[in-house]
This record gives sequence, C-alpha cells and structure tokens, in this order.
Amino acid sequence: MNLHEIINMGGYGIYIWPAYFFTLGVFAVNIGLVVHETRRAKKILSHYFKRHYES
Amino acid sequence: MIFWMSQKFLSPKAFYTTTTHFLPWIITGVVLCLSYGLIAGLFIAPADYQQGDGFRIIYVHVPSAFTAMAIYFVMASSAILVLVWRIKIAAICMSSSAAIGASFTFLALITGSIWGKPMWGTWWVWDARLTSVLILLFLYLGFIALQSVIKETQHKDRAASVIALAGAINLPIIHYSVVWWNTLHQGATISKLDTPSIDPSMLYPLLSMIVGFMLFYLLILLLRMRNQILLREIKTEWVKEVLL
Repeated sequence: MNLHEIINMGGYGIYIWPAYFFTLGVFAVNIGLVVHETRRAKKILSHYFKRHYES
Repeated sequence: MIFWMSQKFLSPKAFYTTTTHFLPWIITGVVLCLSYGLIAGLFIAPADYQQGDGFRIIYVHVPSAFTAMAIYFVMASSAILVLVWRIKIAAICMSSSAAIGASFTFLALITGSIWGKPMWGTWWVWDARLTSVLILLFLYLGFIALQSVIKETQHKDRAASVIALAGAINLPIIHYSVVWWNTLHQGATISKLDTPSIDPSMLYPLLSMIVGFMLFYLLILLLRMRNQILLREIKTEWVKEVLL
C-alpha cells in the first residue's frame, strides 16, 4: 500500500479522512477540557490553601 | 448495604485515592486498543464487498455512537443513586459525564453524516435512528444548560438527575429504531455476538476501537471527577492531607 493508495482509500479518502480528523478533534477537545479544568482547580486550591493555612 | 458501600468505596476520599492507581493502566489500555483498532481497521481489514473502503468509517462511527449511548446509561444510573441514596460521587459522575457524552454524540452524528453521503447520497435524512440520536444530543445539551443555571449544589444535582432519568427513555428508542421503523440506517451489526453479520477480520478492530473509546471516556471521566471532588471537598481535612 503506497501513500497515494492510503490517501485515496479506494476513492473514499475524501470521506474517510475527515471522519477520522473529526474524531481526533473530539479527543483533543476532551483532553483540552480536562487540562483546562485541572489548571483551574489547582489555581483555586492553591489560592484557598494560601489564604487559610499559610498565615 | 448500599450505605455501607457508599461509605467504604464511594466516599469522595476513597474514590480519589483509589483511582490514582488506575489511571496509568487506563492510559495504557486506551493507547493499545486505539493503536490496534486504527492500524487493523484502516490498513489490514479487507474492503467491504458492497461499500469498498468507505466502510472504514465504521471504526469511528460505531464506537462514538456506542460510547454516546453508554455514557447516557451511566448518567441515568447515577441519577437513580442520587435521587434514592443521595450519593455524592454519583452526582459528580453524572455532571462530569455530560460534556463527554455530548462530544461523542456530536461525533457520531458527524461521522454518520460523512458516511451517509457516499452510501445514501445525502448528508442527512429525518430517519428514526438519526433523529433519535439528534434528540440524545439535545438531551445532553439541555442537561449541561440546566446544570449551569442552578448554583446551589444539592438542587442542581437533583434537578439534573430528574432530567437524566427522564431522557433515558430515548435509549431503547435509539437502539430499536432500526427494528420498529423502516429506516435508511442499517440494522444491528455486532449486538448479536454469537452470530455477528460482520467478518472477524473486520469485527476485532471494531471491538478494539469500542473498548478504546470506552476506556478514553473512563479516563476523561475520572480526571474530571477528581477535579470536581477536590473543589467540592475543598474545606475537608482529607483534601488538605492529600495536597499539602
């Protein structure tokens, strides 16, 4: 299987690859959401602990 | 017994500490299942005798649709635990699942639409299966919207549980829509595992992708739940012990 055949996928490449890229996008959005939430949680927690326990 | 279990295993502290050990295994499972599924599905499985290589969209479409429905089932089950036993972890599971479920439902619709164009000649039809999955997406979005407008945690959990439970009626409708109505959408392919209507060389990558998608959901769910647990339990002693 050469690169042209992989991209072409028997004439269906124009449908197959976008479907897989959308999938990649959904996975990336979910990972991004978790990373964003974790950063936010860390920020809130560190702010809270600084205020209550470091004084 | 439920009360004892909720104290022993479902308490936020026990859940947080236990899941720490599972995360590396789940990540490994996701990588292995998706790698095998993608390589075998895209390059090793033979082309379908009717659809040619176009059928390879099945390896992202079916897992995303399966995961979307499974997530709603998890949410509806959690809703029962919240409404009957007021288990905190179940409420956190429910709210953490919604956005993931919405994303997979959206993906199932998009990949289905992309698959529909070369096979049916159209991007969309108001077919029973497609319409019921679209309703599932609206249920997820309604759930997320409801959660964002109620600020008080207990009220939010109970209201969201009612919505999740009421929407569960859509799950059998989605599953049996291809049986109850005449639809363009094909019937079950792998739900009857003893006599699947798909060759093993195509089936195993598909099963691997489904497991990979479910493990990915589990991974994202656990990570989101752990964040929510820390924020909800911020004033407790155990959070201080774990983090400081």
